[in-house]
Amino acid sequence: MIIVSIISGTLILGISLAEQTSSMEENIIQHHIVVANVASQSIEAGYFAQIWPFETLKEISECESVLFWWVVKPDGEILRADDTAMWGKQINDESLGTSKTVVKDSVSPKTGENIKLIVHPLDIGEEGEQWTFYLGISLESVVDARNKMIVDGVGFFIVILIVVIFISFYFTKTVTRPITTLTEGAKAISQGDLEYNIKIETKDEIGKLADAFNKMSGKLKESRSKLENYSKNLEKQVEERTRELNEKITESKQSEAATLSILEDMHIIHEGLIKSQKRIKLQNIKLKKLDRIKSDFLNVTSHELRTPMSAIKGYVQMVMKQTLGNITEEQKKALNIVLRNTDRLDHLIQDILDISRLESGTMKFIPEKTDIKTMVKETVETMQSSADLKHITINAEIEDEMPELTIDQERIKQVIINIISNAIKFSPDGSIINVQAKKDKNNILFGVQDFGRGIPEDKQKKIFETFYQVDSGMDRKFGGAGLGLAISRGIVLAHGGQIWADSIIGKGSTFYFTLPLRSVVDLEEKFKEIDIFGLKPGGI
Amino acid sequence: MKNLKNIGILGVVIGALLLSGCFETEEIEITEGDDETQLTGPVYVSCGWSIDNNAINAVNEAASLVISEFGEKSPEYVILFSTVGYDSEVVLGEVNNFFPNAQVYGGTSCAAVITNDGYHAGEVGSLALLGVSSENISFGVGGADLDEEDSARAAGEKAIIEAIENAGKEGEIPAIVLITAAPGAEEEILFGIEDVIGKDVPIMGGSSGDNTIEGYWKQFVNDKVYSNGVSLTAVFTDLKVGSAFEAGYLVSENEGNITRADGRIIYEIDNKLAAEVYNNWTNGEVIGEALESSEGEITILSESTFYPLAKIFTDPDETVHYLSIHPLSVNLSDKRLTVFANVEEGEKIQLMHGNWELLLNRAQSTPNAALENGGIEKGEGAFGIYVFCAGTMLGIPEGERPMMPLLVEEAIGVPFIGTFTFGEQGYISEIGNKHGNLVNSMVIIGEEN
Repeated sequence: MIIVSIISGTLILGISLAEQTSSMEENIIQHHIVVANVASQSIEAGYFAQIWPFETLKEISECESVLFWWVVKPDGEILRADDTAMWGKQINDESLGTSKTVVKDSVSPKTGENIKLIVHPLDIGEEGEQWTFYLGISLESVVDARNKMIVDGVGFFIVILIVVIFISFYFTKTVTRPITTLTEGAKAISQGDLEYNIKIETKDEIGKLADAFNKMSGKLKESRSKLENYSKNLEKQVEERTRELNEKITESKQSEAATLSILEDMHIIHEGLIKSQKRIKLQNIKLKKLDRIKSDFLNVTSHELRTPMSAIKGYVQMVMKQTLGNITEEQKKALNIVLRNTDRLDHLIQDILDISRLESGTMKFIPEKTDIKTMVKETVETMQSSADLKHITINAEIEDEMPELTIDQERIKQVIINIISNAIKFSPDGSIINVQAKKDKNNILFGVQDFGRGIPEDKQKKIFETFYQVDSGMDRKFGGAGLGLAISRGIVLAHGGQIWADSIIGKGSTFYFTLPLRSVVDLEEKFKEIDIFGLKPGGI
Repeated sequence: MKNLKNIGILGVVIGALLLSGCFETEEIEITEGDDETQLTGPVYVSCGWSIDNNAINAVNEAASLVISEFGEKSPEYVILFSTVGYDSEVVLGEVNNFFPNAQVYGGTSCAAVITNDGYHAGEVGSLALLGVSSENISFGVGGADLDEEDSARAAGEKAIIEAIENAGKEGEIPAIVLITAAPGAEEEILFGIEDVIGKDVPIMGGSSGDNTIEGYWKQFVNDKVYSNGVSLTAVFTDLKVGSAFEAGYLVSENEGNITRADGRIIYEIDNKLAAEVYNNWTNGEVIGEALESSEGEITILSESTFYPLAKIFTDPDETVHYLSIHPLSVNLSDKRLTVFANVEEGEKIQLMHGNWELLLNRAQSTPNAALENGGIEKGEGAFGIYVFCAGTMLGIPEGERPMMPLLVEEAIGVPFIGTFTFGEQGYISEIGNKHGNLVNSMVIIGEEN
């Protein structure tokens, strides 16, 4: 390594010095070619006016590396020079009269030292005559710099060499030898000599590595011993298991036959299941068809019924208004009864239509931003006139800070109207009905309380089924088709809310429903998902 | 292991090779050039110089050079320029010893002297000699001591008369007059000379200088040394004579009229305080914040070298000539500006500017102008006398000063002698003789008629 360092260092130093020297020399020469050019141009500019650029030539003489300058006539006579002793002397030089710049090595006429000579053409003579400007430059600065570089380079090289030697010895001691020891140890261990102990007691990473090797060797020894014991045990176990297995094989052959028989039975059952599935599918298709027919029938029938109903109502009203002539009081009373019953029939048809939409899942919703407080108040005011017939007072308790909700306002009003209608129906004369609306966590909670006869507990859920009435049978006291709460349930569920009733027999009932503060995006789509008739397990 | 060792050795060898580098070198052959300076008739001229620390040795050395070229002949006329580091009396005495039959003209130079051999500045002193012998030239050297005459003008008159007499040319007008005077009254001296020979004869030269502007300057007149005198050479010849008297600065746009002045003091320019105007013109480069004081006097000789003022002369051909004058000092109490030349109220002055490169280049352009003015080709002159303002010489970096004489020599190609002066006198064509500052001048005597 040391020898390689010496050789390579010498070569690098030599080459580097040579390059730098050459480069410096080149730079100096180029610089002085420019100087020669400047001098020549200055001389040419003033020659014919007998003005010599002594100032410029003096500055050139004062350059450290300029040894001399001459202005030489074509015949070789030095006309001008920095040293007046050279004036009038003759020179004999092959570059005299050159038409382009020549750079060559020469010898100083004064000192005999090696110099560079720049010979530059000077255009001041007559045509055909070529004067010449000579500039002698010293390369002493290059030599000095080179010598300095050599000294510095050698010094630096020696320093580096010492450092390299020192590092070599250090590495040999601290790295190479321990690694060799480690290598030998690892080799011995790999060849099976687990008793081998690597002796490196340094506290560095190599020492830790040696330590780890020794521990590893110890563990390996332990593991080998365990393995040997295990191997012996394993042989015994294998023998035993082999014997057991043979016994089991005999048993399994016996049970194989039984298994085959079971498999045959399973196949028969599977084929039966497939046939049943087909039958159920067919029945399902029939049921769906029937259901569709029924819905269509309901829809068409309702629409067909409503048209004559509208006509009947219209003419009755015209007669009552005496548009078609005067009528008697008794006729008026009779017509009132007709009108009331046509209204009842109209509501029933509407409910049937709603039920058909419920069945088909095609109820339409028009969601809009709704001020809840205003909506409830308006609904209560509308129902007060009906309540007045039984001298019932409807109280509205609405929380002040109620947010706006995006809901189908008309449908929610329908819900509230349905519930209040029931409350009026089942409340005694002169009682009160309380309507409440308030924020309850993430919902608006609506409540309608009446002080009627109440609902038995086992029927508090069933009342939300279609056509269900608490008081059913031929002698029921209150009319109605039993569709209102089913429709209300469907509407509330479509809006993402819940509806239920709390009641105590003899004391009254409170019907609750909620609407979420975060409105349902697509009410119609949500409505389709609702189990409106409670067909899924769990019912309503 | 053995292989590794071999690889290691190889690697070291390769590295050594890379580190060492290999150069192929080429040496340039250098030989002495042809010496263009040759001693030929009809004018025999030779130069000598020395920077020996001893004055006598210096003269010996310089004179020996002159004599060696002359051979059997002997110069009849010698120009001597010497620095004040030597005892002028000793120097002149020694020169007289060497050349007892020669007329000697000259004076002291600031810091150095120049010849065609170069720039000579010694530790103690330096001197240069130029010896001339010619049948085609008559030289007459005359002088006067200003302290002993009634006026500088009278001194000038006396000196020229003596020079003409010494040339043996009484009643004749010289072709050219060389002048070396003490600084201070050059204009008056010129007037005195012109009173005798007229205004059309070039009077060329400079005021003698010293090294410290303390008045140690000297003028040489044959065997006399003056401190406050004038030395003239009257040159009579049919040979071509060329001369040039140039400042060489660039003209700026700043100009004004001297509205109050006295002698060499400018009080006001355009009715404004002179120093303030000058400071404004130079963007504070010369005087600067010192002007804010209101007491004392500051010397700006060195700083103003590159920002002289100039007198403006327009000749009959409408050519404008600028004669530079050197600002010397500023009086901070009355903001007056002292210059090295006489000024007059009503005179227009303009700011000039330059750098040392311009001033140095004059050392070739002015000699070339002298050649051209004299109709003399390069190398066909006999000898030259070059005068260069000491102030401008000191503005040139010391390392560049040796180029100056080489430029002169290159231009004229003949022996010459030069001096660094504290004022220059010269002839401006169509204008006349003037005294200025920061100028350089060249006189060349040709070899042909």
